[in-house]
Amino acid sequence: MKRVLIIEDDMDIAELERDYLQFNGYKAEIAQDGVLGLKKAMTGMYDIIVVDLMLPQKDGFEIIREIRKKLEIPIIVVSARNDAIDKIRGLDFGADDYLTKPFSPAELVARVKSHMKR
Amino acid sequence: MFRPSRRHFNSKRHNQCDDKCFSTFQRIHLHHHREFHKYHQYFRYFRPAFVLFNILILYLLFNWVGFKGIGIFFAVVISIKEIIYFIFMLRLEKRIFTPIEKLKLGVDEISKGNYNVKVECDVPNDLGLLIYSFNEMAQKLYESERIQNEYEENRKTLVANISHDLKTPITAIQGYIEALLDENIKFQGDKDKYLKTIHHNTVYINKLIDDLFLFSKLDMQKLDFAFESVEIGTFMDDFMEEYKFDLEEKNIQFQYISDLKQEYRVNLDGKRFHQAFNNIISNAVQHGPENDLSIRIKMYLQKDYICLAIEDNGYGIAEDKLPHIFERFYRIDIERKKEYMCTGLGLAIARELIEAHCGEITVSSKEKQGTCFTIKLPILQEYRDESTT
Repeated sequence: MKRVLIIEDDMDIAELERDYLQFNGYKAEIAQDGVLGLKKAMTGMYDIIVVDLMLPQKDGFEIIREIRKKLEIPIIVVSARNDAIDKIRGLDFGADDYLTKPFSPAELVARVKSHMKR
Repeated sequence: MFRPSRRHFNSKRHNQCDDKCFSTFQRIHLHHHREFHKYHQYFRYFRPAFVLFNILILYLLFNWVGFKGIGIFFAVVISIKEIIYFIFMLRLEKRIFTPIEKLKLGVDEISKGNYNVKVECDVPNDLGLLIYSFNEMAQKLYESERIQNEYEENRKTLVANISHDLKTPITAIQGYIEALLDENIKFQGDKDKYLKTIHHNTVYINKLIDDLFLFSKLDMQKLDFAFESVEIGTFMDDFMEEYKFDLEEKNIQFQYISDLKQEYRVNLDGKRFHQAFNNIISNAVQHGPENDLSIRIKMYLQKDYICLAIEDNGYGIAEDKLPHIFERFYRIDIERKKEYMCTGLGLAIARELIEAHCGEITVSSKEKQGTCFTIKLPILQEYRDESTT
């Protein structure tokens, strides 16, 4: 079973993402802050990472940069920041996809599936 | 007759010419002006007298020396005249033309939108006064532009923060409704939880909008206050009784102590003060431990101020976070933000409300020991002499 790490500080959204992913056959875990999220990600136990940009302690951009130094796993950014500059920055740092809030959880699952197939 | 020297003028002008120096300069200049006009009225007789005098000199020279003398006379007169003219033009250039040119450059800069200009020109005349006024005007325009830019930046940041803070609960609401409508997903067991989450997020959005509305009114100074003179001791006694019941119901230990030896009056809008106080207490409850939380309020006198110290035994605030806690949207504990309706504006609103009362609010904290917010309210003027005796 593929494992997904969700790095999201808002528990309502994190649980929604987890529930949808689990229903679609993924095993999902939540990390509520940037430091814990990065620590979990670097263990290499996950097949895909879904990360918010505005996190406490460490922001999403930094996490993506750190992960990319060591791992090549797919990273999907989920953020309320809708500016092109944020999308460009996220993708430049190494994210594979960028989803803006509010988003459809079904769309998130579809994107996760798409990246897992590659 | 009093003649102000240039040295006197220069010493006043070069010491940054504050209002006192400037009004002194104006008085001196006006005096000089009056004196000049007083004697100028006699100049209209001077020219014909000078012409007659010249004719007399010419006649005498012609008699004594002949045409040669007249020629030498004219040569000398013309030379003197040219020298005087040259000196006059130099002074005119220095005192009139150059300052006007500098002023014109300053005006051009202002018309281009560059308000950070200062015309450097010390001339002891009306033009000097005009330049001084121009520099003042430029400085005020510059300050006004700077404040406007600051407001614009703050507004952009606020809009970005609002956008983010509204999108997050909307995402949750949209997502959970989609999940409930999705026939492919069987959330039978979690349906109530999803509906509660949707409800909770809509309540949170409503609170956020209310806080934003209040904060924006405060920011634009458009919030109406109904100030009245109240006896602070009596007011606080009643006020604290309400809190005692509320907090004890939540198993929070509450204590109120007043160190005032007599009654004092302060200017207070009861409703707004209640709001500010409530935000501080809510903050203590939200960020404190779930069990054994205690809140202690002490009222005491400090010179011309009534101080209210609100102390809790919570987790405290880290030193690096302390300077930011009154900033809007700043949250220390992200996890609890929606659970306890924490919009990040509570303390910012509290500070604005207290400052509207001409008071101030400060905070001190030690991690793992607790936090103390202190509100200072000024005692009404007529009671201040009593407070110092």
